[in-house]
This record gives sequence, structure tokens and C-alpha cells, in this order.
Amino acid sequence: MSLFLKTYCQIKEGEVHINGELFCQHMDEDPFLRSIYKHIGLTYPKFFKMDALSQLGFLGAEMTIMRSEMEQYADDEVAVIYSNRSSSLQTDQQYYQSLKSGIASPSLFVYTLPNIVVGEICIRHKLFGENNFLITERFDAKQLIDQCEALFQDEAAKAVLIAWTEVNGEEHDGFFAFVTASGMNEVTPESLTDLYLGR
Amino acid sequence: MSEVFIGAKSVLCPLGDTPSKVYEAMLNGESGLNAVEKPFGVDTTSQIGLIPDHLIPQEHMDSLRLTNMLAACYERSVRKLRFDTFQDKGGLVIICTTKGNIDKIGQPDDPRLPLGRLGRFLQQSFDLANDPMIISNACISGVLGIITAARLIRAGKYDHIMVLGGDIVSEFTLSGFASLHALTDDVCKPYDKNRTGINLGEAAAGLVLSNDETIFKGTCDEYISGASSNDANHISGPSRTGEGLYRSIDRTLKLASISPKQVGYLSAHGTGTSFNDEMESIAFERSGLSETPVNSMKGYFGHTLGAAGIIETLFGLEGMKRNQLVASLGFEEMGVSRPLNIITQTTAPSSEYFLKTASGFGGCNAAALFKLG
Repeated sequence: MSLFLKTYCQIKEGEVHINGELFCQHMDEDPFLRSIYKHIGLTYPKFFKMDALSQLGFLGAEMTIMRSEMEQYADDEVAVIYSNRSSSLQTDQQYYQSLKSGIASPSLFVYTLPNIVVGEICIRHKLFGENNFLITERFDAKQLIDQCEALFQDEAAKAVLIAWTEVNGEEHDGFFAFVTASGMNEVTPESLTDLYLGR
Repeated sequence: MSEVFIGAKSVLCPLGDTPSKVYEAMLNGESGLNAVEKPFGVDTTSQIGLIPDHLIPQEHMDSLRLTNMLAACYERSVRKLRFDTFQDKGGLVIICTTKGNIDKIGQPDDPRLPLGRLGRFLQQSFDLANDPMIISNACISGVLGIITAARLIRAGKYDHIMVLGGDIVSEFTLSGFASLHALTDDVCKPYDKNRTGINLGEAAAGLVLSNDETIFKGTCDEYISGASSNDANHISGPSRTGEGLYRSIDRTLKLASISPKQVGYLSAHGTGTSFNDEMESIAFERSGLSETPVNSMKGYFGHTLGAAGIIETLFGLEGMKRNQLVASLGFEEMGVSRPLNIITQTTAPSSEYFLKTASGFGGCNAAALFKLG
């Protein structure tokens, strides 16, 4: 079966690219993710409660979904499937430090699951569709595309927001793609890998 | 839709290490939960479900508890197949876990800490043809692993998929649930008036899904359909209307073209927290499942997180096969606002269809339907 790419977005090394075009660069004094938040003119106070993984995944979803003609889908026809290497490890370590300092932080503990970012996106965009969070050692286009195909064949979704979201301190590696069951721009695991690698 | 078969059960849990022995203990009303003084240094009186150390084989690649648990289940499930199919490209292993080797969190340089490494150890030890897929989607990881496996088989991506679920009890998870005030002060009482929270338990369990029923040495059952749905409501609290769970069940039954009345047994999530159990009762009523025999297995081995969906599906299938569904341990007096037909003594399912559901943090919910083989 053929799959199609509607929009893609990359957040990496202080730059945001949308559909291959430079969208914004990290120039101001704010941390990178906060500067993107400001750049896109978002007003969403919950953003500031999120951990870094959720902030990265949330911003990528925001910019990708805005350009993907969401109005044509029912509220349960868009699935969200995210992936990364380290799960929520950075927040796990922050929670563990809070525990060792004597006060285990419940607000940090809630973010020690990688799929919380998917929940944040579903709340923001009122998406009642399918979810999944996959852990792979590196960006694995085949696993993500297989998931889309399996969902489309089961008629469980008509479009899927897939993503790779890895955070390590101030290093961000986010790649987001809106994949549909019908469209113009065919996508394969190979072509998606090329886009991720900027080839 | 093409047929998907499910079987080759393996388990390691506080009540034992074979499906039949554990199920017999459950039928006898035994619980694997025990009081431990300050477990893992955490100040709680909540009982926990630990696998006795002697049940965890140590001959595997490293000293990590979870890895050894998963490896043991892999080997036992493979022994129930006519051949080891995971060493060729048509076979895949899916690992469902929320926290992986979280007991290494105090050693940040340990290369086994990142979750992505968990699959590599199994791949190398067992010479797996494909890298294992790891699903980490909170407490629905196990059910979602089963649904994902069935979909990948139906889409023609693989012929046989082993779904392994596993999580350990650790200082990390115990202290975290304690900080959320989610732990019960003793033992959990799902759906009961006096329920106060969850117990944590550790387990690993395996099931194999395949497009070929002849690969199983013993009997197998059938996977019919499944779906997941997000509440789009709150990241750590269940929806007041049970929206995502209701939608998951509704889609699952519609895909199977059966009515709620035809479901003969419902294995629910039933964690024993006030909000979860109440939410489920609302979703089940909306789904037309108020009269379906239902239980929660959390009283037998606690909430086993990423393993929960696999181990509870496994024992649900075991109960269907034996025509003996276990009582919902810990339940005495109705404590949710909507009617439920909670199993209070060993009973027979009312049809050959078995529905498994789960809900978790991040607002996620899943349902999967099986038919007795």
C-alpha cells in the first residue's frame, strides 16, 4: 500500500525546518524550545509545566498539525505515534534527584513516562484516536511506516502524526511527519530517512 | 480480515512460574502480595508483589533482573512452538515495558539504563533476526503490544510475533506512586467501597500471535479485534465520562461485528484507585457491559504496569479455556456508581468471547477481543 506525506518538521541544532525550508533559528536569550513557543505566537500556559521531552514533542506537533488540513478528519481519525531512544530518561533522573534530596516530586514523576507527550498533544488538539510510543536505538523509519500501514489497513486511522523526539540537556533532535492514507506526495521508509537525515 | 491465533503462554510472577500453577493458586484465592517493611527504602505499608528470587533464572547474559525475567519467558514461550521462528525475518519480538531497567537509575553511566538497549540484549542472546520492537505506553503497553502485533501480522509485515511484557518493582516506581498518594495502605480492593489505591507487582509474561495455528504445540485461541483511544482530557487523571475507554471498546466490538451482550467475560484494568475504578464503571455502562462477568486481577499480583496487559490477557485466556473465571480478589461491597457484574466466586464465562481492557497515564485506553479456540 502507498503512504503519503503531508507535512514534515525538524527541530534540531537550534533550527526549525518545515517541509525542508528554514522556519526559525535560535537567536535570542531564551532557551531554544521557549523561543520557538514565542516565535509561533502560542498562548498555552500548560506548556510551561511540561518537561523538555513533552515541550519538544508538543511544539513539533503544533507546527506539523497546523499545516496538515486537520479539519477534514473526524476526532478519532488521526493517530499519534511517537518514538525515541531514551524514553523519559532525562526526567527520570530529575525525579530521582528530587527523591534523593528528600522530597519525591509528584509533578516530575508524572512525566517519567514517554507517552505523556502524546497525551499532551491529544489534549491540545482534541484527538481521540490511536496512540503508541516506540523505543528504538535510532530513528527507525521502517518501524514507524509499518505502524502507519498497519493502522490504515485496520481502518483505525486515516492519518498518523509520527515523530522522533530525543532530548539530552540542551540537545534536541525532533522530527515530525504527518502521514496520510491518500494524497500526492508518496513516502517510503527510505525517503523518510533521507528527510530525517537532511539529504 | 485474516485470522490471527494466540498462544504459547509463559509467565513469571509473584505466584509462580507456570501458567497452570499460577492459575490454580488464583482459583484457590491465593495472593502474591506481601507486606514488606519499608520496601526498597520507601515509607509505605502498601503490600507489594515480588517474584521469589529462586524463580528467576540467572544463566542469561547479564545480572539485570528484568532482562533475566524477559529472557526466561522468551525461552518458555518458544518451547511451546514447533520451531523457533524468531531467528528468521518473518518473526518479531515486541517488548512491552514502562520503565525497563529502572533499577539502574542510580548509575547514570550504565549502558543498560536507556530503554533502547533492552532489545539489544535479547536480540544478541537469542540471535533474533529482527531488532525487537519496544512499546512504552504506560499501563496499556501490554494490551497495545498485542493489538500492534495482530495489526502487523494482518498487514503482512510479519508471520509470527512474540509479545513480552515486563516491569520490576523498584524504589523509583514505589516512591513515585507513593508521592501521588496512589498506593493503598494494605492490599488493593478493586471496585470495593473501601478501596484506597494500588499495589505494585512485578511480572514478565509472553504470548505468541501468528497467522499459522499449526506453529503451536498446544491449543491456541483467536485474536479478533482491538483498538486504543485517548481521553484527550488529562495526563494523569482518568476522564470523568470514560470517553477513551468507551471508544476503545465500541470500536473493538464494531470491528468484530458483535454486540456487547455477546461478550462472555471482561478482564478489566481495576487498579483499586477511586478514580480509575469509577471511570471504568461509567465506560462499561456506556458500552452495554454492565451484566458481563468482570474481574480485576490486581489483587493476585498487584499492578504489574507494562506486563499487566499481557499477564491479564494470558490468565483471561486460561480462565476461558478452563471454563473457570477467578473471583475479583479484594472485592466485597459495591463501591462504584454504575452497575457491574463482578465475579465473586469461580464462575463460567457466558460466551466464547473475552474482552480485555486497560487504561493508563497520558489518557490512554485500549481494548482487545479474543475468541476461545
